[in-house]
Amino acid sequence: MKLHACDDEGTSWFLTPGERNLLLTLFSRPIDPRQRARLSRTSEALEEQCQSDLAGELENHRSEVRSRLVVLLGAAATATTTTQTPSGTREDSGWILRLTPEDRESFLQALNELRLGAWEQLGRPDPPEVPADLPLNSPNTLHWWNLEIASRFQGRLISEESLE
Amino acid sequence: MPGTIELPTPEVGAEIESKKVRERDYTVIVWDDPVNLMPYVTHVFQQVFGWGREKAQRHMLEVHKEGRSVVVRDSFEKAEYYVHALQKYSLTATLEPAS
Repeated sequence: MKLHACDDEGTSWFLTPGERNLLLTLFSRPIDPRQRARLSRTSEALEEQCQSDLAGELENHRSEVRSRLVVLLGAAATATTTTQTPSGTREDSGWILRLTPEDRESFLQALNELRLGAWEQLGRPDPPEVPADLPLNSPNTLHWWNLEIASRFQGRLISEESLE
Repeated sequence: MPGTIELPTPEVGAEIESKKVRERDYTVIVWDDPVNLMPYVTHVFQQVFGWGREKAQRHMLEVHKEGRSVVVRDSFEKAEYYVHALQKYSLTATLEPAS
């Protein structure tokens, strides 16, 4: 995933076919269950009166964001980019994903939701680093993989910010 | 008594309690957690509060080092709005009555 272009209306990102398929798969799957977000740690009155508003709003928001990203990824246009390599130029085929500033924030939120869902499934490890002795057949492999891959895309979206 | 209609008792106490809750000032606190990445937290502060990178990083580091940072003190409605906005980014943010 690379920043392809940016203008007043948003940014365009080049995705390889594998990256696009991966993101479509990740955002089309059911959301991992998350621990309930609390509104307050000290006020029981607030928790009682307003917690259901927060829970409902977050659930709707998460679902809408993921649906929107699946639509955007589905609507991405095919493209070819040329990359300079030490041995000459290389042409890569892929997809251009166009993101408005709002879409980009949704993308970041959805990636973080994936990260946190995986982290909770793993039992909230601190630090959240893949154990060196993780067995290849561990049932946690998929959760670690989700955590790592979502972090990678999230890092790319944020780090390219300064290049705009 | 025949012909008497029994009216429901209004829940005055609950309404007063709800009004009390909403009339005071609140602080929005962002709590440390081991999973949200530091550049991501900085980015979220910039987006939600419109802060510059330096201020956003200062609060992010306060969360990281002190375990929490007070990011807003405002009315119930505004503080609640910010908590919802921060939780949409999956940050650990809560609303606490201002002392």
